[in-house]
Amino acid sequence: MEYDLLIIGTTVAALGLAETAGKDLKILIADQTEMVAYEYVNSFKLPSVYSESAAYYKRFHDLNADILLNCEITNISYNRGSYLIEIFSGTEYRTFEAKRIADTRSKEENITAKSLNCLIINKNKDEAVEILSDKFNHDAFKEVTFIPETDENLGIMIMKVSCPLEMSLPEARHKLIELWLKRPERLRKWKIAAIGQCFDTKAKFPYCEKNENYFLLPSDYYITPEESYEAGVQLGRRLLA
Amino acid sequence: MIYRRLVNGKAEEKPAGCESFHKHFEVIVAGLGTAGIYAAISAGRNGAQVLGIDRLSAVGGMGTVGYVSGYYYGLGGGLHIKVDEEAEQLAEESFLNTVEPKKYLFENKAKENNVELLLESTVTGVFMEGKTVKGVSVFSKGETLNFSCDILIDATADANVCTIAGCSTRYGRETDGLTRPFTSVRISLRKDGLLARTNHDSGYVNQNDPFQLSQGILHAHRSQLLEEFADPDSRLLFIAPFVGIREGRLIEAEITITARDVIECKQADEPLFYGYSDFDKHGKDHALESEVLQDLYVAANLSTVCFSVPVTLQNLIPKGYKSLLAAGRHLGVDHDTASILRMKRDMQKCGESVGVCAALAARYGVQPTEVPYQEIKKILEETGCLTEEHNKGIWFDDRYRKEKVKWLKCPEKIKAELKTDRPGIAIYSCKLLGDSIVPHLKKWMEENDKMLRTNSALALGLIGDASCLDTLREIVRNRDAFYYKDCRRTNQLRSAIAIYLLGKLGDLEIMPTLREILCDPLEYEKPLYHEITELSYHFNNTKNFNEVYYQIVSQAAMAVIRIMRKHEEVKEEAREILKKAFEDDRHIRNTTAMPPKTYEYESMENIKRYVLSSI
Ligand SMILES: Cc1cc2nc3c(=O)[nH]c(=O)nc-3n(C[C@H](O)[C@H](O)[C@H](O)COP(=O)(O)OP(=O)(O)OC[C@H]3O[C@@H](n4cnc5c(N)ncnc54)[C@H](O)[C@@H]3O)c2cc1C
Repeated sequence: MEYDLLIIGTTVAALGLAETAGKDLKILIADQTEMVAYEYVNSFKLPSVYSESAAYYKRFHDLNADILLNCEITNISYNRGSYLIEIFSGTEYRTFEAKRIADTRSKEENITAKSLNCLIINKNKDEAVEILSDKFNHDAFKEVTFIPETDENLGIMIMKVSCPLEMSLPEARHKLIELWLKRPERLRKWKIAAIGQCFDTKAKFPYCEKNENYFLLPSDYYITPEESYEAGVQLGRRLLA
Repeated sequence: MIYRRLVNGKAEEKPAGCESFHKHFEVIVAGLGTAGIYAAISAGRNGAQVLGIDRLSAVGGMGTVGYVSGYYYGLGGGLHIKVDEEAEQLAEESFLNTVEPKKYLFENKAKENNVELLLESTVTGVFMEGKTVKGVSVFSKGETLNFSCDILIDATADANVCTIAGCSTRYGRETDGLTRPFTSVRISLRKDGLLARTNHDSGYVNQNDPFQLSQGILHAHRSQLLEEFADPDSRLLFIAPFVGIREGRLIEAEITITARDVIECKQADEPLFYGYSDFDKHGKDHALESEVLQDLYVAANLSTVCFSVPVTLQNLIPKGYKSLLAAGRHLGVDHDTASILRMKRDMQKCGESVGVCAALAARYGVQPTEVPYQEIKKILEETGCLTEEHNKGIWFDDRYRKEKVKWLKCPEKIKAELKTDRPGIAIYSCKLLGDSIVPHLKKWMEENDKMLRTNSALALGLIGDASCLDTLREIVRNRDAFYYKDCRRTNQLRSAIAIYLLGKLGDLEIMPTLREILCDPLEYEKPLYHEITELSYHFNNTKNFNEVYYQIVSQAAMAVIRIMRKHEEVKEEAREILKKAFEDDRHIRNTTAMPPKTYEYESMENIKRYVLSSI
């Protein structure tokens, strides 16, 4: 099957790009996971954004593009103005051709920092304020940042645990849990509600052309999903121009 | 040796040598979900050097990443008991539920038991010598790695590795090839600080087409925006990033467990573990299920009766293959039985027992079938994976009704139960007794007690005796809206049962009534579709779904098809009825106002599609 554009990653930048370019280009979007907008939603990067996952699923669903979730891009080669792509999904390899590629994920080597985040909850909402004013005399917690959320009934905070760039997600999860199990007394009443299903990452650069018609547009370069979406829109316009 | 993979719909086989392999493991487990993680831990615990591979970034599959954190039936026993206790304890101290603790404990236990974990890695090909599996290729973080093994365990839930290896599999039900509905699982934080997990059944999708499956996943999760699912009292935390698929490909095993085996409580000489559940089929389109299941589920109204099912090694070996075992919901069962043998406790025991067989086979350098059963049994009994008590038989096993079920033989006992609004056991017992009970049933049909008369007719209908026809027709003509009360849920309406039986009996005289149900626009105006006459029944228990109308219309459509297949002479008439009935979407609209691709919409759409494809 032939496409005008392969977008790698079901990210927010991919959404902006596909919504813009999908009007004229035949697009395939491929992702290793079945999450969408995960760099903001499933990473617990920002307060409350994680609650918007269903809306993002709707926008991806409504795109004028073919989408392959849960797949591995096993090979990409370049041949006379076109990319040959081999994708494994389910039980089978499939081959596709695309004139252009836009990779919206962040590769390890292009990241400046990463953390694994989780959402912690306390039934007493006032304790969040107290925790933030605390200075933990606890070495392990030096790598931890808390971001409080507003909620009428509960204390809710995002806890970010920074991780070495080479650390894998399972390793980071273990690090976070082990840290949490040894948490200082002040945090005893807090409980983990959910741990991010991907890292909260920060790319080194917003955009570059890796090869001819092969663009890198790391969605996580931007602080907010709105900016990231806009970056996708901009690339889409450029491709259509 | 050959290397085999599937490319663009075809098998591609290339010669390969041992130099292809990066490393050897005694046991490789592909898929570290509910069953696979226990297969890996158990194989390691029994001395094998194990490689566990999963494409997700955590182990535990549906039970952790899919967020199916609770248990539904299954029989507790074996290694999972201790893990569950530890997870509960961790959760109590530090988490809102057991999902993250379980991932953490599983991964630690795997390492403690000599299991090397390769996560975010997908099995993409197999190495084979004839029909003996020798190893796998894995795509892991940008590169392909090859590993050889003595025994490979396919624990992918969809028989993915078996399919790559060329094993025969089956998929979906006989009528329309569909599997059980799949589900979007949503995790929210309630105002009281607790987590809530809600399942929204999301309809049906061809899981073997990755484009369709991807669209299905996006659609299922977007449906969380529907007003019906809105919950102002909770905050959405996330949607489980592993969609809730209940049934996929099933292996063609050396021996397949069928629904008939289950219902007849067929025993096994060398069980590895017992599964236990009701036929938890989820879909409402009973009319499209097999007659074996409908005889129990619809005609005898026994939807929540639980059965214990022995599973043997022969049910876990893909037919004709060596050094390959299956662990998980894709084991060798038919479609009906797949709705019993999939519960988490049982899949965990499935993994544990397969792990033991694989480790011992690797230790002795033989095939799993050559390991003495007594040795396997001893290990499984020590952990509690296999116990005599698990051979429970048949039970009503919930708060509504807790009692052991025994099929009845004594006519007087049968008669006593047929007089009640819970006649299911008696009706099904009559089916098992067959001709010997017919004279009694005929006699009871003449008695004054209406319940006894009608229930005797249902029993005769199930046996296939025509003397019940007048009574069954009368039930349908009157649109008898009585609900039986055998079960805590999915109780059947008398009319729907009678329509099913009349279809099975190929009754020509009921055709005009079926035409009326299917084609007369005034049918929907009848009070039974709009008034709750039976308070004990959860009427229209899914929001926005007219269950009474749905069951009557769907059974009527299928009855016309059955009659048409039995009587060539009414073929044209039947076709005309069905065409007219489904020429537009009114039956869908009378059933639900939910949009296309929702479970509610698709329940009637499945009937429409099947009907139109049958004429
Ligand atoms: C919505 C829903 C609700 C349910 N509710 C309950 C309940 O309340 N109680 C209960 O007991 N049961 C419940 N069940 C049933 C039960 O959860 C599942 O049947 C059971 O978990 C399946 O176990 P499994 O090991 O076969 O599959 P899974 O747990 O799905 O594991 C399969 C694993 O294989 C991996 N995999 C697949 N292909 C590859 C590959 N090529 N390479 C590497 N890895 C691969 C997957 O990533 C996954 O981790 C529910 C199921 C669903 C869908």
